[in-house]
Amino acid sequence: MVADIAFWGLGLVAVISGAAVFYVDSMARATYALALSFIAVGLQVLFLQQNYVGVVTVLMMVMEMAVMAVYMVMFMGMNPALMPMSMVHSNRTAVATAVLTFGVLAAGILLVDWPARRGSPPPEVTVALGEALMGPKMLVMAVISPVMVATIVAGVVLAAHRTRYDRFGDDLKQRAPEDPQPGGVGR
Amino acid sequence: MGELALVQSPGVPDSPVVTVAPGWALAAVAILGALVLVAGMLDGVLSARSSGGPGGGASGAARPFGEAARLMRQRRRTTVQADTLLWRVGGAGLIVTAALMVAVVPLGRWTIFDLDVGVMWFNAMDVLVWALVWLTGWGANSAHSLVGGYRFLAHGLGYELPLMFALVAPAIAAQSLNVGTVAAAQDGLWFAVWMPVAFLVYLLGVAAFSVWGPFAPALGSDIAGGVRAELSGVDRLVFETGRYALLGAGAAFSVPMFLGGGAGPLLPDWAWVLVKTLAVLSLLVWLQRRLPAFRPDMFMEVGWMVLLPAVLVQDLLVAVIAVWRA
Amino acid sequence: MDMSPGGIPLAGGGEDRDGLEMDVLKVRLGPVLPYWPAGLVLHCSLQGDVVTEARAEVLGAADEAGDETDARARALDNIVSFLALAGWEDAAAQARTLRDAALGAGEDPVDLRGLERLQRRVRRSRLLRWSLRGLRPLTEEEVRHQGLPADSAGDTYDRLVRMVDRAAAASRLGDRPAVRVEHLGKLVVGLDLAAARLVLASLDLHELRAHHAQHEAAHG
Repeated sequence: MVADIAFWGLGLVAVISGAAVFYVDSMARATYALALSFIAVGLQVLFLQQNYVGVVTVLMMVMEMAVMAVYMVMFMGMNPALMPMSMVHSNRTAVATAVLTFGVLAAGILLVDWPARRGSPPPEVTVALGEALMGPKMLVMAVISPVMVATIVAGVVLAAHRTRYDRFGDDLKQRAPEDPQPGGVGR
Repeated sequence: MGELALVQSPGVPDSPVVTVAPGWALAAVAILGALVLVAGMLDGVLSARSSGGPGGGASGAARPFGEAARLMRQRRRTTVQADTLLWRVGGAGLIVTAALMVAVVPLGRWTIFDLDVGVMWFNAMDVLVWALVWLTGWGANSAHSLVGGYRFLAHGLGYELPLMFALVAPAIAAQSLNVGTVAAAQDGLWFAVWMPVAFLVYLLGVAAFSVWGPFAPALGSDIAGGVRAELSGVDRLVFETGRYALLGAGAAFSVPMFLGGGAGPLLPDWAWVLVKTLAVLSLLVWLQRRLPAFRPDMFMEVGWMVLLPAVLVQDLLVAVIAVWRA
Repeated sequence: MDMSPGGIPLAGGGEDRDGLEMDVLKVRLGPVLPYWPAGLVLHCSLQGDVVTEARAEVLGAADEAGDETDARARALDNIVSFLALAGWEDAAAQARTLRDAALGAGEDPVDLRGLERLQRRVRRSRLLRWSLRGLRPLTEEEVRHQGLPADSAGDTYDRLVRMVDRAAAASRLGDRPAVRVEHLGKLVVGLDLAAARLVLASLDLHELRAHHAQHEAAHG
C-alpha cells in the first residue's frame, strides 16, 4: 500500500516537474526541474526491483544536468541569470505534436491486448534485463563504445585551433608544452 | 493490463546485516550530528592552537557552539533578484544528502537501508553534491558566489571519475555492491591494506565532495567566501553543518568499504565502526589546515592524468586477484 | 521588455580566448576586500572567472612611510594575505602570530626564530611550489618596464620565496619602492580570479602611487 502510494506519487512528481521545464522562465530552473524529473523516475525504477538501473539513472542524470546548467548559462546568449526568458519556441507545432503522440501512445496502451505473465521473474532481474537488451548484441556494443569515444576525441582534436606543433614546437622536441592555461602535471 | 512488480523493501538474499525498523533512522541522524559536533570541535581546537591565542586549544572546542549561536541570531541577508528557491534547496540539501549517505552504512550488524547496490547509492548521493553546491553559488545572484560554484564543478570534473573507480575496487574484490557484503568480505585483511591507491583516492574524494581542505577554493577567501559569500544566519549554519555532515558520512562509509567494517578485538562491532569513523574523520579534519589549496585548473590534469590511471591500474590488479582467488 | 531586471544591466557578449562568444561581466574588486592591498581598486571584465580586461586605480591618500616596525609588520601582513589566498590556513595563522608580535610593544618584537621557522615551512612545501610554479612569470625586462620592484622577476613562487626571505632577514628592512597602479591591470589579464589575486599578492605591495599623466621611466 505504502509502496503503491510512493510509486504513483513519484510518477506525479516526474510528470509535473517535467512540465515545469517549459513553464519556468530561467535556464537554471528549467535544468533542475528536468533533473528532479529524472530523479523521480530513477526512484520509481527502484520500485520495479531494478535497483542498479534506478540508482545509475539518478547518478548520471544529476551529473549531466549539473554540467548542462553551466553550458546553458554560459552560451545561451543574454544573461539568463537575470533575464526571465521563455523556455519554449515553435509553440503551436510542439503542442500539436505532443498531443498527437500522447493520443497515439495512450490509444496503443488501451487497445493492445497485453500478454499475461508466464512463469515468474528471475532472482536477478537486472542481469535478466541486461541480457535481454544486450545479450546477442554484446559484440556490437563492445565495438561501438570505443568508436564513440574515438569520435569524440577526434572531434575535439579537429575543432581545437591549436595543434601539437603550437604546443611542442615545429620539430615536436620541446619538453614542456606551451599552453595558454598550463595544467598541473607539467608534461 | 499487466501488474507492476512492486516490492516492500529491496531485500538482499543472505545479507550479512540485519535491517532495523525505520524509526532507527533518527538514531543514525543523531550519530551523524555527533560526528558533525566532534569534527567542529576538533577543527576549533586545531585552529585555536595554530593561531596560539590565549587559552590555547581548550577555547577552540567551544567554537562550534559559539559560532552556531552567533549565526542563529544573525539577520538574513538578501540580494537583488536572488533565485531564492534554488538557493535554499542548494544550501539545505547537503545535510539531507549526508543523511541519505549514512542510510546505507551498516553499524556493525545493523543497517537502516540494506540496498543491494549500496555502493552505487553512495556514489549517486555524492554526485548530488555537484548540483547542490552549484545551486548555492547560483541562487544568490552574486559574481563571487557564482565563481565559487563554477570552481566546485571544475574540481568535480577532476575528482569524480577517480572517486568512482576507487569505489569500484572494493566492490570487485567482494563481488558485490552491497555495503554489508563488502564489509564482510574483508575477513582478516582490510581492503585499505591491499588496495591503498583506491583508499587514498577515496579519501581525496571525500574531502572534495565536502568542499574541504585543499578542495575548498570554491569557498576561497579570494572570492569573499565563494559559494557561501552571500549566505548568512541560519542558511549559513545549515550549509556549514552540511559540509561537516558530508565529511562525517564519507568517513563513516570508508569503514565498511576499506577498514573491515566492525571487525576488531575486544569491543563490539558497532563500537569499532564508530572508533574507525572517528579516526578517519580526525585525519581529514587535521589535514585541512596542513595543506594549501589545489587550484582547480591545476588539479584537473592531475585527476585525469595521474589519479584516474592509478585507480584503473588498481582496479585491474584487484580484478586479477579476485579472479585468481575464485 | 525591461532589459535591466532588478536595476542591474544585462551582461554584454564578447569573444573569449577560445573564440567562443561568452558573457562579459563587469566586476569591481576592492577598495576593501580581505587580503587585498588597501585602497586598490581593480575594474575587471570577467568572462566566467577569467579576467579579460583590468584597469587599476588607487583610492584614498597614500600612507605616510612608517618606521622599521611598520615595514616589517606590513611585510608579514602581505605574507599572511598570500598564504590565506593560497588556502594554507595553518601557515597563514603562523605568519599572523608573527605579525602581531612585530606590532606588539615587547622589548624584542622581531621573533627571528619564528620567522626562520615560517621561512623553512614555506620553502619545504612541495604542494605550494607545484601550485605556484610558472604562474605569471616576469622577465627582468618586463619588471623594469612596468616599474615594479627589481626583485619581482621570476614566477609567483619565486616572488613568494623572496618575499618571505626579505621579511625573515635579520637586518633592517629597507623601504620598498612605491608601485604605480596603472601597470597592475596588465599583470592580471588572462588569469582567473584566484590566480590574479595570488599574482597581485606576490608583488608584496607596500605603497601604491596613483596614476599620473606624464609617463616617465621609473628605473634607468
